[in-house]
Amino acid sequence: MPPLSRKSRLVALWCSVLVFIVGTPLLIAYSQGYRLDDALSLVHTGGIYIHSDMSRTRVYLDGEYVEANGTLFKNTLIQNLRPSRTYEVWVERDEYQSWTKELPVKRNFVTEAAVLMLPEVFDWEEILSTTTMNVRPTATSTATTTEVIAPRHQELTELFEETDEQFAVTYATTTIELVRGREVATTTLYSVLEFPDWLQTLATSTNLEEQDQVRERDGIVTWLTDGNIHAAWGRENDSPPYYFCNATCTPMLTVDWAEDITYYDFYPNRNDVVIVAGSTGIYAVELDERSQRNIQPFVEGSGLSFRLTKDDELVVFDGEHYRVTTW
Amino acid sequence: MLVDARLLCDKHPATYMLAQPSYLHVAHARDLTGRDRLLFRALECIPGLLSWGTIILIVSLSIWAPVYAAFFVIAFDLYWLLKTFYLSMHQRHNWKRLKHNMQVDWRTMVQSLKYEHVHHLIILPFYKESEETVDNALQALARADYDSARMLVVLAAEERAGSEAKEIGERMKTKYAAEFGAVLVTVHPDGVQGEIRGKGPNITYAAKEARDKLIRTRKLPYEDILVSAFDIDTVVEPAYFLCLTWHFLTTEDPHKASYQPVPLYNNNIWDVPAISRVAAFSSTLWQMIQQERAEKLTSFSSHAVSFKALEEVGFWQKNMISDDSRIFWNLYLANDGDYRTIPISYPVSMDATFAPSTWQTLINIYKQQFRWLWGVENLPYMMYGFIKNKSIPLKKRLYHTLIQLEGWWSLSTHPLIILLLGWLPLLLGGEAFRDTVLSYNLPYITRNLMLVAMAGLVLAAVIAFSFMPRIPANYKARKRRYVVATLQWLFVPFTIIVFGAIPGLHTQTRLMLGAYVGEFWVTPKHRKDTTS
Repeated sequence: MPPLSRKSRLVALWCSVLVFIVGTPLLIAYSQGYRLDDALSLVHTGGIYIHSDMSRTRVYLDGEYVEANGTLFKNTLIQNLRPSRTYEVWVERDEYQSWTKELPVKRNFVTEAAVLMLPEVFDWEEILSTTTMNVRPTATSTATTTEVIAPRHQELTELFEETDEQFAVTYATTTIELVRGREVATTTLYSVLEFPDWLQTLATSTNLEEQDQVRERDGIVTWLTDGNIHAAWGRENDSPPYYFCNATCTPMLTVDWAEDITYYDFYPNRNDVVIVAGSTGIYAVELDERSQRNIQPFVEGSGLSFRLTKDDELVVFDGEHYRVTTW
Repeated sequence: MLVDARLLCDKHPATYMLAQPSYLHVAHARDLTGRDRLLFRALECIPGLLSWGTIILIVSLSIWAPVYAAFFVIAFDLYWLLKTFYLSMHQRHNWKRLKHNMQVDWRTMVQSLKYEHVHHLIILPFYKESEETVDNALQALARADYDSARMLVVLAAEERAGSEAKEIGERMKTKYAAEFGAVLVTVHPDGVQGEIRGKGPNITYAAKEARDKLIRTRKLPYEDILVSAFDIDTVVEPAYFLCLTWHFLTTEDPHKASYQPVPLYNNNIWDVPAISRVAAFSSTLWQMIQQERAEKLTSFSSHAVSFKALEEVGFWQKNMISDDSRIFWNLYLANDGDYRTIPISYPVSMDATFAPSTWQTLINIYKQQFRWLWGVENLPYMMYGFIKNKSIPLKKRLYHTLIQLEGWWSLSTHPLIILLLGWLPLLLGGEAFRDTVLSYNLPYITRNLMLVAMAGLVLAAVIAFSFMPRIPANYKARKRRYVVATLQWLFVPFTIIVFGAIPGLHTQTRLMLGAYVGEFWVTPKHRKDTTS
C-alpha cells in the first residue's frame, strides 16, 4: 500500500492554507462583533451580558425569547445587537419575581447587568422566645414539662442588640482620681470610625466619619444619610464596576427612598444589591440605577427590622417575634 | 569540507568511507573554537529564544495590547484546528497502511526478489535491564521468519553495569547460539575519553566489534548488511525482517536511507498507569504521522541503517545523547543532502514507561521525554552543517531548517498557547479590554474551535485502541481496565503540557544556556506482577 500521495497532501495543505487566509480575518471580524445586516451592509454590533446566580431562567430581549439557562450555564451573552440604542431585558423563572432592565448598547462593547430574583413566597420559621423541656429531677420521679428560654431566640436578641460598625475601633481611656486619699481608676470605652489607607480619599471627600452605618464590600462603600443610602467606589486606582457607568461613570449612587431607611446591609455575596428596612417592609434593592431599579420585597409591613446571620439567613423582627428565612 | 574521493580503508575490498568533514561529529559548541564556536553557540540559542520569545510576546501583548493578543490567539486556534485535521489525515492513512502491512505476506513479497545476500546485524544494547527483558527481545528475534544463519546478533553490554550484565550476555549467548548465524557479546569499556555515558558509544563499539569479529571473518560485503539498532525492550513481529528486507531491496539507492518502523509500546501496555499509556501512544501516533511525511522523517529509537552507510560516517556519534536521530543528520550531511528515512510502516513493540509507584512512573516519563526532547541538540548541529556544507542544495537546507525549527517551536509552545496562554488577554487585558465584544467572544471561539479539533483526538483514541493487545485472561478487573483505557484520553491536555511543552522548554533552555546533558538516562524497565 503506497503512502499518502503527494498530490493528496498538497491539496489538503493548500486547502488548509486557503481556509486559514480567508478564515482568520473573518473570525477576527466576527469576534469583534462585525455582522452583515439584512441589507448586507457591515454593522459593528455590541452585546449584553447578564450575570445570573439563578438556574433555569428564561431570558427575553425586547419581548422576544432569547434562551433558557440550565443548571450549569446561568449567564447569558446576547450578541449581534445594533449599537446606539436601548434594549429591554426581561428574565423570569416560575415562582420567582422577574427582573427587568433597560440597557444601552454601544458598538464594540458589551453592557453588563446582574439579575436580582427573589422567590415570590418565602418560607418563614418563627423563633419562639421559650421552649419546653421534659424535666425528670430523679431517676424514679415523674417527668414534668417546664418552659425555658429558647437559646436560638436569645442568640437573635443578641444579634439585634449588636451595634458594631464595620470600621469602628474601640478605645479605652482611664482616669485616675484621688478619692479620700486613695487612687480610684475609671475606664471609659469609646468608638471611632477608622478607615484603611486605600479608603482615605473617599472617607475625606464624603466625610465618612460622620455618616451612619458605613459599610464596605469589594470596594463599594455605602452609608446612610438622611434616611437614604449612598454608594461610592472606594478603590480610586481601579475602574468602578459597570453599574456606576452609563454614558459616563458617576462617582456616587443614591438609593433615594420615599420614607427613611432605618437599617440596611449588603445582599449576601453581592456588592450591587442592598437589603433595606423601611417603614413599609424589607426589600432587596439594586444599586444599579442605569434604568429603573429593581426592588423586590422580602416581607411587607410596618415596624420591621432585620439582620443577616453569618450563614446568610435573613432574620426579621416585628417588635415581638423573630422570623427566619433563607432563599 | 567534504572531499569527493572515497577512501579505501582497512584493506577490505568492500570497505570505503566518505572523507569525513571536520564538523561531522561535533556535539556542542564547546567542541569547536573561535568563530565556529560562536556560530554554533548562537545556533544553540535559537530554539530556546524562539520558544521563550513566543511566550514573552504573548504575555506582553496580553498586558499592553490585549486586542492584538486576542487576534493572535484566534488565528492560532484556527491554525491549530487546521493542523489537527491535516495531521489526522496522515495519521488515518498510516493507520490503514500499518494494518495493511501487518496483513501482507512478506515472505512471498521478498521471494519475488533476490534477497538471499541480505544479512541482518541486530545490535541490542543493554545496561542494567533484567535477564527477562533481554530474553524477551531474543525470543522474538528467534521467532523471526528469516533465515537464521543470516541474522547476526550483538548483545552490547556496558562495563559500568558490572559483571552481571556480561554474565547475562553470556547466558543468553549460550541459550540462543543455535538460533542465529552468530551471537556476539560485547562489553563497552567505561570511561573512554571523548565519550559520554550513553547508548551511542555502546552501539558504535558493538558495531565495530561485529565488523571485526563477525563481518570480516565471514567476508561479508558491507553493502549486504542491514544494521538494526534496537532498544533492548524491542520485540519484533515474525515478519519484521522480511518487511525490512523488502523495503531495503526495493528502495532506490538503499544505502542512502535509514529504515524506520513504527514504535508501539505494547509489551506492558496493560500494566502501566493510564498517563503512561497516553504518553506512549502520543509518541506512536506522532511517528505514524511522520511515516506519511517521509521528507520530514528522521530515525528514532529502534531503526535500521545499512552497514555501508554507517561505516562511511564512523557509526553513531559517541559524544552526545540523541544518537538515534543524530545518525540521520550525520548521514544527511555526509551525503550532501542525498539521504532520507524510509518509513516501513511496520510496528516494533517496546515497553511503556513503568515504575513500581505511579509517582515514580510519572517522574520516569518526564525523564524519558526530556531525553527524547534533548534531541533538540540536533537542530544547531543540522544548521551548522548546512552552513558548512554548501554542496547541499539551498532549497533543501532552508526546507529542513524551517521544518525542524517549526517542529521544536510548536512542541514546546503550542500546548501552552492552546490551554493556558490563550486566556491571558482576559486575565491581563484590563477593564477596557474586558468590556469589549472581542473579550467576550475569545473564550467562545477558542472553546468551539477546540471542540471541533477534538475530532482528531477521538481518531487518535480509536487508532490507539486498535493497536492495543487484548487484556490477558489472567488479569483482574478487565472491564475496569477497558473503561480506564477509553477515558485515559482525558489526560491529553495534561500530558501534552507536562510531558510535552515543559520538558521541551526545559531542554531548549538548557541548550540555550549551554548546560549540556552529559549522561544518557536509561529508562528503567520494570515488569509488574500482572495478576494482582
